[in-house]
Amino acid sequence: MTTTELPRTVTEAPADTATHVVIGQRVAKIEGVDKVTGKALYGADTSRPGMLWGKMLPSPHAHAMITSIDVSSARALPGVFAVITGADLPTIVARISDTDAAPEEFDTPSRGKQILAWKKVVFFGQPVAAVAAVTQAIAEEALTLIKVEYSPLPVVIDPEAAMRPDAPLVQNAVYTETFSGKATTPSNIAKLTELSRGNVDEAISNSDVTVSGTFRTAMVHQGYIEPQACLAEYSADGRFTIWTSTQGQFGVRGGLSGFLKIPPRRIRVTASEIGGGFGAKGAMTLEPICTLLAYSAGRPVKMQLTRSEVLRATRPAPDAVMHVTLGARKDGTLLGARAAFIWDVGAYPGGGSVGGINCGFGPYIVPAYSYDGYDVLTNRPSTGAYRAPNGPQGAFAVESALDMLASKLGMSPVALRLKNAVREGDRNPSDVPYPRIGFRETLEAIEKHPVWASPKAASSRPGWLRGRGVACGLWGGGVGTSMAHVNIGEDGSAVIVTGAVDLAGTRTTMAQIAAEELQIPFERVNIVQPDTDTAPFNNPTGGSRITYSLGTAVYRASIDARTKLKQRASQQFRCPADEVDYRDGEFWVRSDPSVRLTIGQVARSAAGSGDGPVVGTGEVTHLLRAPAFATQLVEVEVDPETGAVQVVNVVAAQDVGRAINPTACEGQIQGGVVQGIGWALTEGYVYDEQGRLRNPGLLDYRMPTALDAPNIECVLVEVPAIDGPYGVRGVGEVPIVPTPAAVANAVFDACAGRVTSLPLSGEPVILAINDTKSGVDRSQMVAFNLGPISTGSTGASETAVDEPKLATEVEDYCAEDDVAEPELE
Amino acid sequence: MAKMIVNVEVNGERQELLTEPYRTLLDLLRDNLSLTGTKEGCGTGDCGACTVLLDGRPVNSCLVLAPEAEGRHVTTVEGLAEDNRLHPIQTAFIEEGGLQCGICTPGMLMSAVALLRSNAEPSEQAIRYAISGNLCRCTGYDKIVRAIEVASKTMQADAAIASH
Repeated sequence: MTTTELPRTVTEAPADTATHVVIGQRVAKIEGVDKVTGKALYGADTSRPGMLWGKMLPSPHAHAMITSIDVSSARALPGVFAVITGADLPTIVARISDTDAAPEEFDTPSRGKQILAWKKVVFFGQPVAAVAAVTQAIAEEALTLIKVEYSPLPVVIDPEAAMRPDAPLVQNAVYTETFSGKATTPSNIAKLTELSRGNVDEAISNSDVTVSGTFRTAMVHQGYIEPQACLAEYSADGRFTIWTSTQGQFGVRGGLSGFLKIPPRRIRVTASEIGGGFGAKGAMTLEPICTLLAYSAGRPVKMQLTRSEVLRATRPAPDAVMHVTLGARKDGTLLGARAAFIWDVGAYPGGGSVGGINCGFGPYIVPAYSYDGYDVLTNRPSTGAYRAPNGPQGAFAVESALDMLASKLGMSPVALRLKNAVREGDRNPSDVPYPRIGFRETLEAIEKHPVWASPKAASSRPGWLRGRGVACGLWGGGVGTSMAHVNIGEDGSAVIVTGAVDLAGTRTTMAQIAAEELQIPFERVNIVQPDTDTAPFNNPTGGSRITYSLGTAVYRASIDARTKLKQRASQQFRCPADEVDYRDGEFWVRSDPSVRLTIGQVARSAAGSGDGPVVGTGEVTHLLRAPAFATQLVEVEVDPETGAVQVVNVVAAQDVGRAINPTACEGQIQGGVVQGIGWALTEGYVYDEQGRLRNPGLLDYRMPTALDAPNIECVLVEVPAIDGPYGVRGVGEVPIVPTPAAVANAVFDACAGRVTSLPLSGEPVILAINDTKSGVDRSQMVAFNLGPISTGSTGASETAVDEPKLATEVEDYCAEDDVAEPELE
Repeated sequence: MAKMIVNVEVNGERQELLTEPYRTLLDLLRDNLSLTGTKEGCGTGDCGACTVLLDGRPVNSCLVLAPEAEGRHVTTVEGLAEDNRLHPIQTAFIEEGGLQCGICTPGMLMSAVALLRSNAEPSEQAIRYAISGNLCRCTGYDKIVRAIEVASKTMQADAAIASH
């Protein structure tokens, strides 16, 4: 595929802000009343007559062979209707689909296939068996009656240890995947991604200044407050009905169709109101097992994960070890960069890879580089998407290294970034050119902000030190298929029908777009999201794609409805359609503006005569990605005695393209920043040597509270994207990307301690302060001593080449998008 | 295990509920009464999603055993609006953007109502302290704090009008 041409499409709805009436307004959330009165139904809030409760038995081992499972006592317990184990999967699937389900299918290293452990367990808490019973208590009792014998295997939970040739193999049939093919011997390195351009060795050795560092982040969880929940029902007509908390109901339908080997028409999925997803509910969790239980029990089955199950056995974000070297001229111009990013993707392949590289290095022009990404298997839960997947980790490494470079050069960290910032036409590490972007504008917004421009204040806490840090972030933008209908009511109102899940406010922005284009008051627009039998198709919600893609579909559907209304009006006026004008809910014939028909009158008449009622349709399959950039300024106070860190102030500048609803944009930014603060300061999985998670609860997995969250000022920068309506860009993902690095840079500014691992509050700060006191220069630590590693590589060249090598998905700015269909892998 | 009867007043209505003694007030509300507005986020009292008022005080209903509710008054999010009119705190959350996904909202509202009953004009720090047992993962808390400030002002203005 050639990438020399920058694809351009015509901006459909001009970004001319002056003419907008509803776009840009701070209208209140359209579903607000349902949510403040407790009426909104979330995943666990729906019940069915005769419903059973499903529960799963977790593995007490992180790595062990299952030598036997005896479920007879559990099955005999009164009130138990179904007990299933991994060994039962082929039989049940064969019965449902009336086809052969070969056992080997489930013996593949795929989290999606192994919904219950298959022959061996590969992470602590992995479901081994599932039961359905009349009450939760009986289901729990049944679990205690299941006898499983394990033969423990050596455990590996550290990704660097897992890369060694003598490391225990997490999966027996995973072979390192590279651009040049697959290795022939199994390895814990599931994938090796190499991106390079120019002669990086020469560039680094020609540099006036170099910095190197190794940066580590912990495995963290998305932390949605609503645990996954699902209700499944089977009917004798062969159809399954599923209610579930998901980011994509059509994704669940497609995924179940593949898993159960039945056509989608036999599956009806209703996405419930969703209590937070952040990427994690883009992939299926409970749906397949709940469906199998409902089928086996012959009764509806509801399942709801406990919080410890959520933390132990869903799909958290990968931890990473990142080695980075930067070389620059005295004036700050970057000449070369070298990096090895090691992603702990957990027990099954997926996640990790190139996204963190593109997010981390993507904001800067680097003439020569060599970036390697390793996806490494360990005995931890398989990982998944978390808001701008892998961006925060990559940015933590790169933005920390840039801060080290700025301090070595005696240069302002904002000036250093401005000097190297990409512009339209520059290419990202995967060699994809940027369309129009607003990166520099976010840097300039911070540079001229009073907080940055004024001298640093003293700490408000006696003995504490105050510091200020800056970091940037990038998210490539999400795209995908969306469709919407706009039904025009007899009173001139409009109802948008879509099958897309609203994670946190897009119903309102969609209604704003329809109101704007139909030129009717916002209050006259409603929006519904019916099930997969009823709603038009949509890809799952994720990657900050909804306002951009579904917004385009709603825009087109509204224009279509308006065009049809005009045509209906022309029938009523008995004149050609092109002689009819329309504005603010009224039609008239251009030659005689005195006779007018309201949109309601036209719709009412049309409903019973002429060409009939009006439904506008709009669809979109692929827009040009609209990258979003952010620059954040973070102020912290640090206690040099304990290492405690409090974030006291944040200024977050972000290019939102066009703020359809500024309140919603700010909410996304503030939420992302506080998640980033949690990542930076307190959140992280803690494992013991046996690979058991030691903090599977919200007391010890410490997410920010209202007392930890600072004031966050949002600066909405509006550089219109070149595709999609009004110049809008996705807003949700990028605000989390810069935050952890900005916090670390602020800590350095406060106490001169360079913290290179997250979470950083406490001991890491003290250690960093001690390093500085004892003269350890972190900026010159040798970074690339990975040691011998068993890539099992097919001999992919390690020499630098002039032509860039491309990532597998060449169009991606941040390849590991979380918008993909949650098909079972 | 033998079941027992728990008499409890919920949102002004007397209820006689049959339950195993190990179940929680949260279970009674959600499963016996289908009041699913009260949410379960953790089951261990760490997230505050299940916050209700028990005799006017905010509690994590997942930590209250069903028998402990005997003879007491419970207010849930379903009991906030009166005569189809939203409580000022509900209006403020909608108007100020104090909610996104909405799963923490019922518990957050109950904590806010309890605060405003005991402190009609709380400082920002007092607001943050009062809701520090309610985790929100979407908003970063800023707009929730603003919403409670707005509700405080509205309620004071309403009270001033009522006293005239």
